Amino acid sequence: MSFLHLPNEIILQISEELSLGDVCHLLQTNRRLASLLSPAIIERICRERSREWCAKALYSAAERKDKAAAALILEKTREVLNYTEDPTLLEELIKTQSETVFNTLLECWVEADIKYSPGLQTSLHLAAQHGRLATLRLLVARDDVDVNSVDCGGLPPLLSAIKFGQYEIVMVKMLLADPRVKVNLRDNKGRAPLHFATCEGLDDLVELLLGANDIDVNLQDHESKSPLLVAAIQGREAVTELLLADERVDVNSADSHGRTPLYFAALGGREEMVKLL
Amino acid sequence: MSEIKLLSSDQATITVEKSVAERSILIKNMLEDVGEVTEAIPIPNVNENVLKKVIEWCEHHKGDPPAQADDDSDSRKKSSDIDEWDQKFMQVDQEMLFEIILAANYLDIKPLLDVGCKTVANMIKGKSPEEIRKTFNIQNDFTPDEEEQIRRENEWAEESVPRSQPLDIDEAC
Repeated sequence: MSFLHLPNEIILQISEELSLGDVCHLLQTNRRLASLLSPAIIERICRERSREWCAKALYSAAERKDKAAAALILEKTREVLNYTEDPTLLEELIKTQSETVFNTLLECWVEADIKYSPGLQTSLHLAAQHGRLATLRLLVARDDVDVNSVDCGGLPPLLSAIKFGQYEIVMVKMLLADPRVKVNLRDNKGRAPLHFATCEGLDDLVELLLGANDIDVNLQDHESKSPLLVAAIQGREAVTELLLADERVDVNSADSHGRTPLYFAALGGREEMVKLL
Repeated sequence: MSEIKLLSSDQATITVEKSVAERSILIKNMLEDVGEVTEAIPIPNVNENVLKKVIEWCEHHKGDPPAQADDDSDSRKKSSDIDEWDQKFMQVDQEMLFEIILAANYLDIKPLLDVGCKTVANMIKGKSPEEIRKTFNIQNDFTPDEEEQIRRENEWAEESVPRSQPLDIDEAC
């Protein structure tokens, strides 16, 4: 008479008295215990409705690229890990997990272009905001991802990342390299990516955007301000120089009150800027 | 006080108080079905030694309040500790421990089964897979590859759930 002579139901009852870590050690001792207890621990975390543990189990399977296991866990934990109803889950997934995990999950269930009603942010927004390059690359490469999908603030992923200052140049490059990405899409005040880049004086980003296909360098926001005008108001010399070096830029573009870049440069007493203009 | 007789698998007759024997739901139901019995009730799955041990437990616990019908979740959780008498009672060799568990399962004595399972669980807690194998003489029948795979598939359960960062000592002071 020994441990392995106990019937399954009793071994399962014993396992209920153990922590997950202890069960995990027990199931590693022997084939029969492994096949009995591996499904049992998944059942258990589902029953206990522990989101944290369910996510751990799921991400572990996904990291191992074990699609069958991941699909099974998703199926069983559907009530706990409800990606279609709980936006924080997707955000956490994109923020904390590798693109391998994300990719496996895309392959076995998650819709790449899933969109949540409160923030209407897509996976691409989240990847851009959290600087998850590899995940972003993965999403951009997919046909079923709407790269210009706007969130509830009217922002597409590119603009959202730039507006909130959460971008890396490589990432913007990656987005701009996709012919589907529209570089002139604007927010609810009519501001496009180039406005934000000039406003903040981000030379490298301005340079990159000026090189983008189809960019409208004189696009005016709802107050009729062009990027150059914004640069003049903010006193961004380096950016102004870059803009002026571009022959498409209209040096006299005025706002709705007829005020030009030169006017604002003079108003601000910015000698260098006045000279440039 | 009425007594009944039990016949163990090895043909030993044991006389026991009816109220004690009725800690076993199996025996209780059987007695309710057949009414008065004079001959010994056969317990074919349990030998004399084990049956005596089980009866010893039933005698000690005969005054316990009867188990609630649906006590599955709650009462089990709050009684994760084993009382002192039961601990001593369970200080037997493994062979006997597992026999008691099987007998409790067969005779349907849930509180005894619980104590038995908890005792075994306590022997597992905090041990590595290798230590568990040694403790229970479990044969490792995995190939090295399988063993590694099983370890990887389940390592997520080994990590503790992340807690908040412990306070820096300087900050705490």
